[in-house]
Amino acid sequence: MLTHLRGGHVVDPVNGRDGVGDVYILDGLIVSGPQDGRPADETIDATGMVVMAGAIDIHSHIAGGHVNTARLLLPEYHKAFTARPDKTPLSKAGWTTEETGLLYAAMGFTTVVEPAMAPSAALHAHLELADIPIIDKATLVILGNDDFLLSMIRDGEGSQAIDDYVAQVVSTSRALGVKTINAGGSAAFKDNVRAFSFDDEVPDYGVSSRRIVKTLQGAVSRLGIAHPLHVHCNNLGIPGTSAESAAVTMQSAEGVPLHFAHIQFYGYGSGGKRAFSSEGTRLAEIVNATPEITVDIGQVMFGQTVTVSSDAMRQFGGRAGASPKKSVIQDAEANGGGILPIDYKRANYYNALQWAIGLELFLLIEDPWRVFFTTDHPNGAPFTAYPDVFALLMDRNVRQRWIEALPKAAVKMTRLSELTREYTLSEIAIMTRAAPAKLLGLADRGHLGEGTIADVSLYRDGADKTAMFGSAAYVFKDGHLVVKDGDVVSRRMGRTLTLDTKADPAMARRLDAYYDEKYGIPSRWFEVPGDALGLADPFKVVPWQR
Amino acid sequence: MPAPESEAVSAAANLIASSRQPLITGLATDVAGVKAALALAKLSGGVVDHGNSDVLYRNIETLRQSGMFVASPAEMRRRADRFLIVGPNVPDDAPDLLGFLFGGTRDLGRPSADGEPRRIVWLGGAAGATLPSNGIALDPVPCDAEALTDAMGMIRAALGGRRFRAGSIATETAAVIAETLSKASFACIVWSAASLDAIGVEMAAGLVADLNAVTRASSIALSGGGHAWGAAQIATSVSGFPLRVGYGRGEAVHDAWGYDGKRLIASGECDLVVDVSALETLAPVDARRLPLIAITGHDEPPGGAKVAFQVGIPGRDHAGVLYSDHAASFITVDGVRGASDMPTADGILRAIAEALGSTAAKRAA
Repeated sequence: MLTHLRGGHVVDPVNGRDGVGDVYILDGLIVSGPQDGRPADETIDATGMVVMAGAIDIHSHIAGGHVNTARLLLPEYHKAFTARPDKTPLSKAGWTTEETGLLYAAMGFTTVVEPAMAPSAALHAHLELADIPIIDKATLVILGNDDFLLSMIRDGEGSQAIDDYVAQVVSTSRALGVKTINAGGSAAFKDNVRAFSFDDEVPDYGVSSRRIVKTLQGAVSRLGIAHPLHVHCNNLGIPGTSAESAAVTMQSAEGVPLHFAHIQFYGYGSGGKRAFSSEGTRLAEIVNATPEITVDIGQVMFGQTVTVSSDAMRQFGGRAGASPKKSVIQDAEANGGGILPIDYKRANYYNALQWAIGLELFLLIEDPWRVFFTTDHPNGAPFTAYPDVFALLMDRNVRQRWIEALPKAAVKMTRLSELTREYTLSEIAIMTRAAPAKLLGLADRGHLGEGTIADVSLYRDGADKTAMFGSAAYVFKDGHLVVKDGDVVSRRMGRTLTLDTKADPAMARRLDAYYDEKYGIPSRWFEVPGDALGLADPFKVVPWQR
Repeated sequence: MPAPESEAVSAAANLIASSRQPLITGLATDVAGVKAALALAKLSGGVVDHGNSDVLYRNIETLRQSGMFVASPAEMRRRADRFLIVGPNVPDDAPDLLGFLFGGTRDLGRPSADGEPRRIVWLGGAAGATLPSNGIALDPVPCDAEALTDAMGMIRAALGGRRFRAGSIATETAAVIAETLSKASFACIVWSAASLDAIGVEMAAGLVADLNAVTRASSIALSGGGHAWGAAQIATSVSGFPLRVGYGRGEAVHDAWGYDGKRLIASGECDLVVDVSALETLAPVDARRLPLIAITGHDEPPGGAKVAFQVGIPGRDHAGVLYSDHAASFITVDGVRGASDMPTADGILRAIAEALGSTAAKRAA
């Protein structure tokens, strides 16, 4: 089957394309043109449309125990719960597994990464991913508050043993990469420590957060896991301390790649009479000056949402700000976590400044290859807010209208009004397609070059970027038409992308003995057998190039 | 009524097709079975609920109204130094859980603030009952089952330094329990919702929250047998809600009272019951006089079923995925009886859905 997408504005920065042209799809892959003169089986007139590769979201909480607890905690935000669905922002949040796939696809997203999978709940995460239609998925597995790793570091074990452990966890949990979340902080919180910084030591172990991050960074790098260690820093959200924590952690990269998650939540100073100010410029300058690091933003948008985090300490500390006032805090073998509803209000000084800090970071970080598009769904906003974020980045007049609606006190505390930068289509394609594929090590997607999988999104070009990116004109997944005019027309299943990192078999035996002796549980509880997920073909193994 | 499976499947599909409001319940089955039951409910415009949801909902209502602290048993086994077991039902609901919880060595966390060793308080245990305390000091505190909420209110008041009167337990006893828990390095409160009413669960969760003001504490909340919590988890990710969902309008509508399966049977608002009873930890649902399609793993099929299917039990006759209270997550289980040719609940439910789909297509044509 040869499909010809004719005469669209092709935006494909990897291949140097930014102009009117054609794209061809043959049997699920992109080809440069018809072979031996055969006519296309299907031609789509893409005149007036922007043609890009399918978008990739590197950090969106779409599956697993904590996400599901958020669903349990907030039934009132599901559309079927209320007679007034349009009045409740989360009613559009893609709250079920099925809606998650359908709504992402309708916006032209074809790959989404669940960034916080606990090893002990990996099967649960994958059971949910198995129900998400259309898009490809992947996960990052969480390490850095687990007794096994902390004990290894304390006991001075060598890098070979550490690497074997990380490789074993990545492969058994069917992950694509590794994340660390408030490294050591959750473990310390179980000992009733309520504040924890980069050079603080975890009681019981005498190991600092810095040592944990550096140990994991080294292992990920040595193992050749393409995605750099994904870091959620200490002291998220705390004015003054958060920015300091992000700054000192970024400076610890020391030439080796590190990815920093949702840095908006760390862009907080303690200046001004409300002791809450923007450190957006400071963090952006560090990012600009540190080429080995990448960041995603975690943009806040206004409305009701819920924060879902494996940072148990931070979520516990934030309980007073929960709205509505209820929360779930979990303590588990490693990170645990917490679920807190939050209502970001435009008229609220703090929330307005959070919104502005996110945009400052987007606009002040110069290299679109190193800054990623996220709302940290659902923590800053549901992913369904993305079209509005595209509009804010691409159109300074839209930004100005939003700024004018903010409290004056907040506007005074942000440089946002003076920032005239507008993201180009090419920069959007880098940030949401090309750069994520590179960051995740997915050579088969993110651009429209010959031989890549035919994940393609077509948008009707227009001045209203919210409308344009909110509802794709056509979306192809692996060459199959899945969305037409913003409506899903086919619900085929995508797959979950995994990395089969090989470890010394001795590590599996050691972990068997460890879980049995220390916790009294079998290590098979941490495994995700493909045949347990109810799908014929659940995984696509990404080549591991060590 | 034994019947060749394909005939039984057609008969079941015909019953569902003629039903105004079928209730798909029991749901004592593995993850695949729960997903298949949800799909059948959606296809048939029916209601889906768990056979044990009256117990389950005591925990769910508290969780979603005021929140909870929850812990994994494996971490508590290594870390907790004070345990409060609430009510008589924990050993029945999770027979091996307490033996597991107390069965290891505490090697994580600070010493208790009072320097005393690990301690278990069992509030309202059955007279003469014992716990597998594995040498940990055990204080049984007698308390009538219906007075547990009152006793926990007293403990909370003592913890908060508020005045309270003698009630179901002595004031001094309440004060000692509060003191014992507050000196914990990490306190763990375990209850089964089968022992408590909704206010009792809220009180227990509130006690845990109060303890976290001074030290660390969390809870293990059991929701009764029959995989009720696991079914609720799967239903939540699939439909947005923890069961008690009706698909009469095509999409999932949640009404914790309106779609309570036992209430629908009692009131006769549903006119057909599909009972999935494929785990040993839950008895079949009593369909009263309503027509019944029974999908059962029990040796004795229920009397009076219009159609009955004998199926295997996951973890005994076939492999599957189940929520485990031990793991506080989902785990895989094997079929230990070896190769079994018994059908699975999941397979039967999907076959019925397929037959129902073709019945509907024929009628439309």
